[in-house]
Amino acid sequence: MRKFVLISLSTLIYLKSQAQTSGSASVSLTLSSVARISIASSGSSTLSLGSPSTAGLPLSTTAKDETKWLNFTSAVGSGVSRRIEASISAGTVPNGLELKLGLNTAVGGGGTLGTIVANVASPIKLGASAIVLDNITGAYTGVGVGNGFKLTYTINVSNYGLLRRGTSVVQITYTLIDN
Amino acid sequence: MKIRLLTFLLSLNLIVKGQTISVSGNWIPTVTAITTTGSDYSSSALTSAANQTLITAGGLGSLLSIKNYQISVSKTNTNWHNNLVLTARRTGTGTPSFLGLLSASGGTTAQTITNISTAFFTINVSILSLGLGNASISNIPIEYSLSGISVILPAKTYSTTITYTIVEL
Repeated sequence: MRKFVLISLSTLIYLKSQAQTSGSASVSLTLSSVARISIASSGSSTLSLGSPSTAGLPLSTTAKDETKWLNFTSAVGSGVSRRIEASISAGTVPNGLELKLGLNTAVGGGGTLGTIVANVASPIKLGASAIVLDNITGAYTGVGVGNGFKLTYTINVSNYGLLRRGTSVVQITYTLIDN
Repeated sequence: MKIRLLTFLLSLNLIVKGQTISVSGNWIPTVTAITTTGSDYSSSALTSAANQTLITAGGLGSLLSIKNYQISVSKTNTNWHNNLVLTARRTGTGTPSFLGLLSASGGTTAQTITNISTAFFTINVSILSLGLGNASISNIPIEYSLSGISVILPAKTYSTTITYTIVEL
């Protein structure tokens, strides 16, 4: 009988040791890298050099356009940053003129929108690819005109002697690139 | 002698037999790809199926008294971000082994799951459950919600393990 009791006790204690008092489930979310860039609104900008109101005066040497906004969405892995470069990808700026670009302070959006390299006070001359915004990480600008970075294009006369009458079309390409 | 022995064994059974819990159903939420440049993810919060996880509690009840059990919840992060907020709520009652004698209460409002074990809901077992510690409620459904999703977070896989613990009150 003692043996029976001992066996029963052992069995019951064993049952207790097998009791599962916790259980688990997992949650796993994957966020992928995102790189999207666009210019709002669509369509072209027109810059014109006006005639002087009085003969003998210089041309209106600066024309400006501020109708375009730079929008982007960026998601990067830890330790990764991005930059935006601008370049003239088609067409040429007429001789005697300079086409410059400056970015205004960002409006709207969230995250790390980067550091402006080409600002309005110190615009860069457009031509070969050049950095206009740097050190972007995870960020979004907001969508459309009025969100992101307002672009200020200016054109000015660098050499009167080279000016010729005419119309020239240039295409500017913006690229979002990993650093 | 035999009566003594049976009484002893019965008492021992009531003492040593414990409640158990089993959990099934992981959640792998999917983020909708961004289609509009300049925007963040269209939804910063995602919600799972209402029965994403099913909890079964067994070994419940007693001949001697009403029993209440508490289910607590916590998470253990593998890779996580403080901006991500995970909540859980109980969306159903599950299936009791003795209808009307076991019930789940509480936990129907979304509750943030933290790294510290926190009371989630309770299971109440009637004195008449006659379970000798073997009553159960199976498939109590749990729904999750995850908020704070944004491109601002580093792109990678975030994962955490949710632990449910049952204790007798």
